[in-house]
Amino acid sequence: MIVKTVNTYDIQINGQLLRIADQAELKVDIPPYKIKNLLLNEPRGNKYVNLITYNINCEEEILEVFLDTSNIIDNRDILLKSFIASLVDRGRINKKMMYQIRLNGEDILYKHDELQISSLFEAHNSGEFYTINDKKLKIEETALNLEVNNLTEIKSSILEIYQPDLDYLILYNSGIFAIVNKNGDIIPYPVIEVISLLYKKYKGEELTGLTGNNIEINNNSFLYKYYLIANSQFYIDDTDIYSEGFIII
Amino acid sequence: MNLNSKQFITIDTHTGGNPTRTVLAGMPRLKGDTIQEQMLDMKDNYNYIRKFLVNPPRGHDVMSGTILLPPLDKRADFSVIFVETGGYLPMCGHDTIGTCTALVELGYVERKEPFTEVVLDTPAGIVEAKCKVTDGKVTEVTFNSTASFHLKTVEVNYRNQVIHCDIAYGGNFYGIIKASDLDVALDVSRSEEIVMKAMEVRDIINAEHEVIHPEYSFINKLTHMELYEEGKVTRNAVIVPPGGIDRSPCGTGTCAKVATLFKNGRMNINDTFTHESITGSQFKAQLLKTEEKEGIIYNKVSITGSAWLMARHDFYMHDTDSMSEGYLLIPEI
Repeated sequence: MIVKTVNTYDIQINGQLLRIADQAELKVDIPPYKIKNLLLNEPRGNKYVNLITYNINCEEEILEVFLDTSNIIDNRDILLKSFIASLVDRGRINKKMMYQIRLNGEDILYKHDELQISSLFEAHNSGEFYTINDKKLKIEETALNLEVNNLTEIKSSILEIYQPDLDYLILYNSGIFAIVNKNGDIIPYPVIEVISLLYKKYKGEELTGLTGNNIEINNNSFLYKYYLIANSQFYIDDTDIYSEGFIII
Repeated sequence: MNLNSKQFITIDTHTGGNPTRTVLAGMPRLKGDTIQEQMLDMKDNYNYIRKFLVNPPRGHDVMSGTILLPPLDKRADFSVIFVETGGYLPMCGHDTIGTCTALVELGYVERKEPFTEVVLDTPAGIVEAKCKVTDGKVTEVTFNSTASFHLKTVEVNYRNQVIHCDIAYGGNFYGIIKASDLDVALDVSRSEEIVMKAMEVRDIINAEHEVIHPEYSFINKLTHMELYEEGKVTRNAVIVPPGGIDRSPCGTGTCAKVATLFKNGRMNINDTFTHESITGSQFKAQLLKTEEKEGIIYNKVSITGSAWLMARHDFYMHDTDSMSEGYLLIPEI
């Protein structure tokens, strides 16, 4: 029997997936089922899901937010800004000049005019590495054809040059780039630290991600837009064999 | 909010961990008088819809689904097209279990207890599923597979070891190997290693041995690998193209396993065999009958498994979205 329903919606920004649920949807626990894990993990979620659960604190005019993933959280600010934009579009919060978010206890302010735009970061060069936002990056220029249909060769090449101390390894060939994260996984969406570095290093080049994303940069800022993927209602059946799901990389 | 989009409505189920996205609404009218013709029309003209529905960011590496259509065959309740990230399938066991569960629990077919029969018109032919229903909940779905058979046993050298591999057919060709022979444990944390080693062995087999269906010569390659560990129940990991692990015990892979067990004298007619997936879910298989034809023993197997409703989604396809066909970051192996 279905003992719990959870309403959510999914958005994506350049292919990066964000699932959004009001915390009220999760309030009632159905032991042994771990609702948050079930929304993140397979079979309802997958390794690409980032999950925001939120509460609108009307008294303080603050959005209290938790951001979770089973993987690594990239583009935190882009995810949060797109989340706010989606709430405004859905009429859940009023359009304002400025929005305040409390993320895991940290207060962050975002301007309405900057919900679809983020300034690029300064990159600091330290030998063969770069540091941006406390993240360590390395560019590997390659002659490899950086296309999805050449993944076998790209993955073999990554195995040879992958360094686990890097946050992002970037394969770059004439404007096309592929990003490898700390776990050695290829990331299917652009990451702002990477864009910042590539823009600085290859100024003038048109940048395109492995999955065909054309990167839009204007005035030293990264432009993006969220798309609504789906409005969803999840079901939890008390005979389901998975109480928290699983992740297979 | 201006949705400015094309909507698709789906019901998602999982069959022992493997997802099925049953598409209820949103499909264009497909051309053709048979489900085979309509599948080809979808493949030729609407493949972008398949990619939209199963690829990330809407789906994931092993997302699959059924396109639910009005019955083109009078015997059927519905016609269905099986889709997955790798393309189209003539028949899919876990999708049959998932879709039938959704159809019965949500009242798309008349619900009868203790059993509801659902007839699907699939590209592989009519599939009759028997759903066990208790208090409106489908607890099990049983269907009869297409004929499965053991083709041959081969030996290949892999990393200085001789590997024995049973090659059997259950709807696809499966290379069945003891996991310990590849020095891997069947644990989700070792999934990348499992896929890599299994596919390396598969490629060696394809290079050194002929694998060809005795009746359908276009089925001429080993495509799937099935690693197993024997214990109280047999645990497996089925590696499916283009390079993912089946989260369920795999219906067609279980039929291939039953054919192998019968061939090796380890199973008899009417015996039941339990197969457990890498995620802990189980299918039961019963050998119903066998028939020898030109040196090949063909087996009729029934598969029983369970599925659970997971979600209803209203998907929106936007004209301006560069990600409308999604992406798939798994190598073609």
